This record gives sequence, C-alpha cells and structure tokens, in this order.
Amino acid sequence: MSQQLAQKLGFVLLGLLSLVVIVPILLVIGAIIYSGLPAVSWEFLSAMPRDGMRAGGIYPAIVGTILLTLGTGLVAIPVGVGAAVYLSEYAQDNVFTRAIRLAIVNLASIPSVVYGLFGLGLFVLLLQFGTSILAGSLTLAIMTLPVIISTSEEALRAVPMEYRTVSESLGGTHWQGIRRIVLPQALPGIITGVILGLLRAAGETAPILFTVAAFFLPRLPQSPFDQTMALPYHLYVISTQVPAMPLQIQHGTALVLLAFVLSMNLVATLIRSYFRRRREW
Amino acid sequence: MTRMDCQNVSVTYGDKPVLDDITVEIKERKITALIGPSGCGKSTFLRCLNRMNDSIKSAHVTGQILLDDEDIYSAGYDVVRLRQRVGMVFQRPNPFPQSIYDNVAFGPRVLGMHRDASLDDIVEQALQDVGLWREIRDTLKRDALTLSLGQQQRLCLARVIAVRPEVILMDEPASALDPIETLRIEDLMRELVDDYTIAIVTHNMQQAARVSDWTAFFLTDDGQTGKLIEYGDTGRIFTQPQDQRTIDYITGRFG
Repeated sequence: MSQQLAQKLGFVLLGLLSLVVIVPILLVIGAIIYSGLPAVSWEFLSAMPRDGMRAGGIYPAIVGTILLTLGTGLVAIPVGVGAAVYLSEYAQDNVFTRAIRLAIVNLASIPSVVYGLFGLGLFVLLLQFGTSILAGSLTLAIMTLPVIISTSEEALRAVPMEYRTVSESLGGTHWQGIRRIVLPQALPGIITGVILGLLRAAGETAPILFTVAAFFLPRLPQSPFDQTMALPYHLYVISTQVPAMPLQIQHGTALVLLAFVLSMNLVATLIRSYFRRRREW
Repeated sequence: MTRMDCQNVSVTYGDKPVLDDITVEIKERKITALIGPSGCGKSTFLRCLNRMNDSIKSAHVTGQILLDDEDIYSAGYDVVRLRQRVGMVFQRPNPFPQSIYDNVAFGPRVLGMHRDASLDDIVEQALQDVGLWREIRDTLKRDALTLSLGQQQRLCLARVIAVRPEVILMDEPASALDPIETLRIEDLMRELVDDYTIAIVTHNMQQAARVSDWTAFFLTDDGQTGKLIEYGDTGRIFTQPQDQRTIDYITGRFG
C-alpha cells in the first residue's frame, strides 16, 4: 500500500470517528427540539404549573435554576479564583500544598449525589439552613470548586513568568504584579473555567435533591432560606413521579434547560473572543 | 563618585560557586560595561545589583553591595524600594501585553507617583526621553506588542525611566535587535548617562568600547566560577590591558 493511500485512509478513518462523536449530540438536541418546541410558549415560560404540573408553565423552576446558579457563582467564584491564585502564585511546593492539590483532584471525581448527602448533613441539618436556596447554592458551589480552581490555576500558570519578574523589577510588589498583569492576562481562561463549572451546577439534580429542590411549589422563593423548584429536578419529577404526564411538557422542560445551559456556553465563548479581539493578537 | 560599591561579592547556587570575590565600583553618571564570554557570571553579577537573584531559592550572596552606604543585602532592606531605585532592562524586549500607555504607566501607578504629578505628563516625559514620543504619540492606546522589536526595547527603557530610578541595569539590551536599532539604543545610553548611572552587560566588545566609561572583564577558568580579571577605565582596558587574558579576549583569541 502506498504512503499516500495509507494517509488518505487514515484521514477518512479519523473523520468518521469524529462524526461518531458529533452525531449523537446532534440527534439528542434535534430530538428534544423537535418534540419539545411545540410545548414552549410564552405561557409555558412565564406561568405557574397547574393541574398537578400537567399543564401551565415552568416559571418557578426557571427562576429557581437562575437563582441557584447565581448563588453558586457568588460563593464559588471568589473562593475558587482565590484558591487558584494562592496555589499558582504563592504556595510553595510542600506536603501541605500537595495535599490540597490531591484533595482538589479527588473532589472532582466524587459522584454528585455524595455532594448532595454532604450538603444535607452539613448545611441543612448541622448548620440548620434548612432545605433552602442557601444550602443548595453552597452544596453546588463545593461541587463546582474543583473545576474553577484547576482551570483558573492553569490559566494563571500560562501567563509567562517573565511578566512577574518585570513587574518586580519595576518596584511592584508580588501582589501588584498579580493584580495588574497576571490576573488580567489569565481572565479569559478563568471566565471559561467559571462558566464551565456553573454550567455543570445548573444542570445537576443530585446535589439539590436533598438540599433545596421542591417537588411542587407554585410560588417564587422569597428569601435565601426558602425552598425553590429547579429545572433539572422538575424534569426528573415530571418524568418519573407524575402519572399521566403529557410527553410534550417533559420535552419542553428539557429544551428550556438545554437552551439555558447552551446560552451560558455561548456567553462564555463571546466573552473569550471579546478579550482576544481586544488584545489584537 | 561611586554610586554602587561592590566589595568581595561572591554568589553560590546551592554548593556551586558561580561568582568569586568580585570588587567593582559602579560610578555615578557613568556607563559601566560588564564584558566576558558566556557563562562567566556577568549577568548573575548584574542581577545582584537589584537583587533579582532573590527569586532563585538556591542562590546565596556574600560580600557587600553598598548603595548610599547601606548594604542592599542587609537584613530588613526594602527590596521593593531598591528595585525602584535600581531599574532593569532585560535581554529580550518584554513589554506587558497591554497598551503602550499602560506599559509606561505601570511603575508610576504601583508606586503611587501619579499623586504628585499627572500620569500623562510622566508617560510623555519618559517616552520623550527614549525618543519614542514623536513616533507613537497618536497611538498610545495601541497594544505594545504591535511595535517593532527596537521600539519595544525603547518602550521597556521608558517603562524603567518612568519610575525615576538612580541606576539602570541593562542585560544585553541590544542582543535581539538589528544593527540600526542597536545603534539607537547605544545613542540613547549616551544621552541618558547625563542623568542616570548605567551598568550594562554585553557580549559585544565593540559595543562596550563605544558606549562605556568603565569596563569590568569577567572570566571563568573552570567553566563554573566567574572571576573579575580586570576592571578600569574603558580606554585603558581596550588599549593597554594589564592581564594577558584580557589581551587575548579583546583581540578575539577566544570568547
């Protein structure tokens, strides 16, 4: 077999393999849009559920997911980015920091239902936050931390060492170099990591199962100590717990959740390209 | 007059000696050139002068480096303040990936200098001092990395000057530049020496002969430990060197 032929075969094979990756994604998205779109209307997005959730809208679940995502970000972003700055810029390589890193890696591989149980034990019961947005956000934030920390640390480390040296040679303190040069440089990478982490939090069911999610709550939460409905859990409920559920509403809910997650993804991409363009290279 | 007085400076990395017993005076408002072949420790010595070796954990410096009669390696010496007084230009132009303006304004901002004078004035003055103002006055908001290499290096010099240092250290500042840009940097050094004390490390003997007032010749005889062979007036070092090894080096027999 000639070299050229072998190369062509290789390319075709690799091309087919990448199709195998793309096709299922397109099929899932296509199916959900096809069967869910007819259910989505203004009423579906803005009204309370009626008839045991078999009619009406999913408004409280949408609001709940947005609130939970915001709450998660409020906690996870400062803690995660702060930890990443510490690990990348300040921490010495010793037993202590190696233990921290090991913990982060392990945190990332813990099943999300375990986070849910942990949140139930610590936030709901021990700290007596009750089943509440506060408890749910904290639980989701802990689950999100490993993603935010490791992507942010990577982004910080990608900034050339030289900039820190130059900053110091100009009479800047270590922190001034980080704040004025290193952090702005790493920002696109950090934002990507943050949004990836929050995306995961927005779509998770297990961690909110015991900590915040309400089966049915036909009103909006009034305070951080209230329960709330949330899209992933709502989807789980109407798919498994409610008899005689119109299929359309299930698929419509899935479509809204998918659209929420994908649009956050899009925002992340836009933010990144905005920063790239502003840098002009 | 002596601006920085270095007495018996030795540097070790771990247990490896890299500089042995260097005694040199950096004269006020003169250009002192540190020359010698690769690996002779001249850059290491330069970096001792503003303690840029501090970040290398295994580095250990003994001896004295006096700035205003105070040893910069004494305990509790303010390193941040030292680096404001003794600025540095690196081998490769390394502007921050920010606008031209922000680059020059970096030092004054972190040091809070703009409380006394307008930041715009400081930036303009620094860019004028390095002859960049006319070329880029209308494009201050542009990314510094869009400048040519030579312009970038002069921008780095402006960034140092904006801090109003007393001493400027230059680590082979022209080695990445073409001959015309190199000449501009050299001309600039001759202008700046009216106001600043300059120490420059260079590979290029012609450059040392052209720009410097004093020359220190470093050499290593075991490939590891750098020693000072000869130090003196540049004219004398290049015309009547005392040491045979200096003669060999400047006549191009090695290095």
